Formats: sequence, structure tokens, C-alpha cells
Amino acid sequence: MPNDTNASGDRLFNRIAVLRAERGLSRQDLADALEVNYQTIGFLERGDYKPSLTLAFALSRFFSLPIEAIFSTEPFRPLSEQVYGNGNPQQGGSK
Amino acid sequence: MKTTRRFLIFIPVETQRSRRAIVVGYYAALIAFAILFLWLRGPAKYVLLLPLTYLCAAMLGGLSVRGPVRLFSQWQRKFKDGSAWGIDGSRPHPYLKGRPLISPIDRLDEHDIATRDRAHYLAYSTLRWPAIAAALLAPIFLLDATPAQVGRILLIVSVPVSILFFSLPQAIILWTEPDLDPDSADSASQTVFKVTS
Repeated sequence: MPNDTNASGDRLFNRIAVLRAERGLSRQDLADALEVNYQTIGFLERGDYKPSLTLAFALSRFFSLPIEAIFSTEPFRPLSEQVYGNGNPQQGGSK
Repeated sequence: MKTTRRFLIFIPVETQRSRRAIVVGYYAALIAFAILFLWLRGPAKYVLLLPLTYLCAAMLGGLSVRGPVRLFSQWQRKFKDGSAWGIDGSRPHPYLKGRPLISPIDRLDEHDIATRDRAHYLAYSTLRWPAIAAALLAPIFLLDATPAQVGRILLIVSVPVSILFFSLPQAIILWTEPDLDPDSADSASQTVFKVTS
């Protein structure tokens, strides 16, 4: 088994904290919408808990995003990098 | 915004440090009581530890409604018609089916149930080794003992076993539950509230 898998291991990365912040929601707001405990949202955001498919689909529905936009087995690139390219400010200047 | 403050006899259990202090204090107090009863009052009074055990188990949430260990509490569900029903939140009773709840969030979610199951597994897989050791050593101590001595030994063994049975899973939850980072959205909304009020 190569050691480079230790970087991500069997972790499941997610963008829940970013998506929640974008929408100005508290953990409690999101928890109420998904009918889970607010601590569960915190543990999800920290990557301490992997959700069931049911909860993953509920998150997908709530944010109106595909599941792979919320969860990934590889670390997410920063959104700014994805939107504006590979750190080249010239690419990000126009819409 | 709902805020949930948890207390154990006026001791806040919102930080991991305080939760661990409760676990240490809980077992230290029980050991002190056991020593006190054995030395000062004799094994016959040891049985007085039993009600104390159940009281302490209730404090940790195993036998009470809305105890500090939420996952082990028998949550009381309140209905819009004013009635209430204390029930294990993970297993809805048929009586509750279709009845509107005031706070449906009170039930345990998938993470709660997984955490509780893991605590049960860890606690009882730990207890199995002392249990196996006791089973193997029992003939050595009990074969030549008089009935009175056997009764005394069983009493002395049964109290710690029942204490651990009722308290160890809850103690594991209290000990291992991490602190969450402050919610930035909450602090932001609170700041806005302070500025505008």
C-alpha cells in the first residue's frame, strides 16, 4: 500500500461549512432543516462523521447541488482557485 | 435560535474539560463511598451503594428524562395537544405515529445513534475481560467458602458490576465527546443583534 494514500486515507471531505456560510446559516438552522442535531452538523463539517446516503441526499437537496459538489474523497481545491483558475489573476478578471 | 445548555447539578457540561471532570469525580466519589462503607460500616451496609448507583446512573442520563448525556436520556416528547410521552428517541412507539410533535428534533439522529452504539460496544467489550477473569477465578474463591461468605462476595462484586453497567457507556460519551468550534454564523448574527438593538 503506497504511503501517499495517508494524505486522504478513507476520509470524506466536504464543503458543508462553506456552503452554510455562503447562505448565512447557523448550524442550528441547517440542523433544523435536515432534522438532525446541531452537533451532527458540526461533526460533519469537521470530517469526524460520514453521513448516511439519506443524509447526504438531504444535504444535496437542501443546497440544490449534486452530492459530488458537497462531498469528495479527495481534498477540495479552494473555490477561488476553481473559479479564477490556477492562481493567475488575469484569468479571473473577466466574467 | 435554540440554544441547548446542559447541566449536571449546576455543573455545566458544555466543555470537554468539565465533562471529563465529571467522569473523574463520579468514579472517585463512588470508590470513596465503597471504601467508606467497607471500612467503617462493614459489608452489610455495602448494599446502600445500590440506590446510590441508580441515583448516579440517573444523573448521567441513563435513567432520567433530559439528563446531561443526551444520547442516553429518555427524551420526553411533547405534543401539540399538551400531552407528553417519555420514550427512547431512537425507537418511535406506535402510539406516537402520526401525532404532531412540538419539537420533532428531540429524537436521536443517525450520528447520535451511531455514537451511542459505539459507546455501548466499547464499554461492554471492555467489561468482558474482567467478566472472563471473574468467571475463571470464581471457583478458587467460592469452592471452600461458606454460604455467608459466598453471599458477601456476590454482593461486593454485584455493586461495581451494576455501577459500570449503568455508567460506563455514558462516561465514555462524556469523556470522548469533542468540543465543537464556535459557529461563525451564530456569532455573526449575535453581533448584528447587539448593534441593532
